[in-house]
Amino acid sequence: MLVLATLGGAVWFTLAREGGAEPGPVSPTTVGGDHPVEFELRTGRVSVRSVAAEVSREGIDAATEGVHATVQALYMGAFVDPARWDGGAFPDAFQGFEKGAAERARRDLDALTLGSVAGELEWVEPSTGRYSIVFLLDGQNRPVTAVAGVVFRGIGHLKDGETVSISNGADLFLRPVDGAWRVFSYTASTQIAPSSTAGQEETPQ
Amino acid sequence: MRRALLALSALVTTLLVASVTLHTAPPPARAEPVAFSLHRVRGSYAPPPSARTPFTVLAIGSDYRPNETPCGCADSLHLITVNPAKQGATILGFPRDSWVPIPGHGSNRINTSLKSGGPELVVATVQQLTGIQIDYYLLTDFEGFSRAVDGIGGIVVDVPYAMGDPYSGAYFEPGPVHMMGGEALSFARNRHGTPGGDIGRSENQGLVFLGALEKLRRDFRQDPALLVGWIAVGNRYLRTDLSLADLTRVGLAAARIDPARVRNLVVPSSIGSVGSASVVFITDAAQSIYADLRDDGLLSG
Repeated sequence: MLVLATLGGAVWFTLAREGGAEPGPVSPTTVGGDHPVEFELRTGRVSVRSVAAEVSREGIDAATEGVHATVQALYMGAFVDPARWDGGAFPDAFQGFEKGAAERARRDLDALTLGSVAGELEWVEPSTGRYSIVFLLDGQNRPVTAVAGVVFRGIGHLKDGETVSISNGADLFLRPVDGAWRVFSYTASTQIAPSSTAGQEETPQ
Repeated sequence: MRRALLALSALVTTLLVASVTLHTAPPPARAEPVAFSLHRVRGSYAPPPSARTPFTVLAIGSDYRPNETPCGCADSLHLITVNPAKQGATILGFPRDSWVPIPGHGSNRINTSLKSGGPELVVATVQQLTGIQIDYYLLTDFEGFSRAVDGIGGIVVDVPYAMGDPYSGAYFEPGPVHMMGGEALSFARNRHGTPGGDIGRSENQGLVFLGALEKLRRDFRQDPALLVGWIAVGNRYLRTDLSLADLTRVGLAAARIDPARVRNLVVPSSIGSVGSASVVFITDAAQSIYADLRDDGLLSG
């Protein structure tokens, strides 16, 4: 019963840190040169689904910090820190990705980063940056997979003084590899539009 | 009148041009147009579940039930071939009474391979029969199946015809039916009043897979993190040689499959007998199906 197997069911064990307003465990990072930006993704709800009959949240805080470090690095490199855009090449944005995912991500720059618009932007002013995490725990309650659902929004300031609205959403699948949490699968989308049309509905895909 | 139409036409054209201009022209202050778009740009990636692409999974349903003395046989058997690149799959059912060679055990009903050598022998039997390499197996029993369906909140199965079977407890009208674990189990077990008995039942079991796949796909689109919950409970109620990492990769691949691109069929076969035993003989027509699946996991045509 493959699908059912693969697919299992849903006894949720939510060890929740409720809400979405908790600060992330890492100190805010300031970047931006002439336009200093203090940016830190905020960690929202953290929940677990365990294979074990009895669930323990031991190790979840450390795992959350590990996931945070990887996701924070991605969004700094992909959206917030102009020094790391390199005209739209984003050379180090995917350092937290596994090889296969990183290779594919290089072809999905418009979905995972500012994309080609980066070359025309001077700086980005984040307005929203938050994520939730769901951990999969093994039979010994060790976190083996995490799914981080990220929401990022901001205002992009173009070199000519105009602005654009930036909206990104991503679901990142991560797992621990050699002590770091690495992205091995993702689904992401980014919308960049002139600020004057930011309120319009996006085209359904 | 003609001039009025021309004027109207000119006005409409002007409005259309103005409309297009409003949407595509750069803001007045800009020197060059920028390729900003209102369209959402999407990208996704899932790692291949197997070193081979496509990959195959043998799903084995045991007849084990608590407080009963079962045969220890495989009550249902399905070879599932998945082609992630083409987002399609094939579910090939084997009637449990199929009379086949079992490695090291002569010829017997295919369901006895589970009793004779565990899931590994079932895998070897199907591999030898089909010539298709099997990457993974999954084994469940009545209780595990029922709990797994309950765990995911039930599934919707497209019941092909009316059922009223007191033996299995399957009472359904044709059409989409939301089933919890007990109902899905009754539907999957019913072989009274199904076309070809065991053969029709095997096809109906494939419909259960399709229902679960549709549910997975819908859940995944709503929230990819739900996949983690499916895997957690699936791992509890099923015995498998997949690690949690494997399950995750297979789950990611399964969630991207369009149920409309899944073929559900049973090996071509006919009812016969060996001695006094009623069995099912797989016909030669099955060979072309095996060959087709070996190619890319999907059936052509």
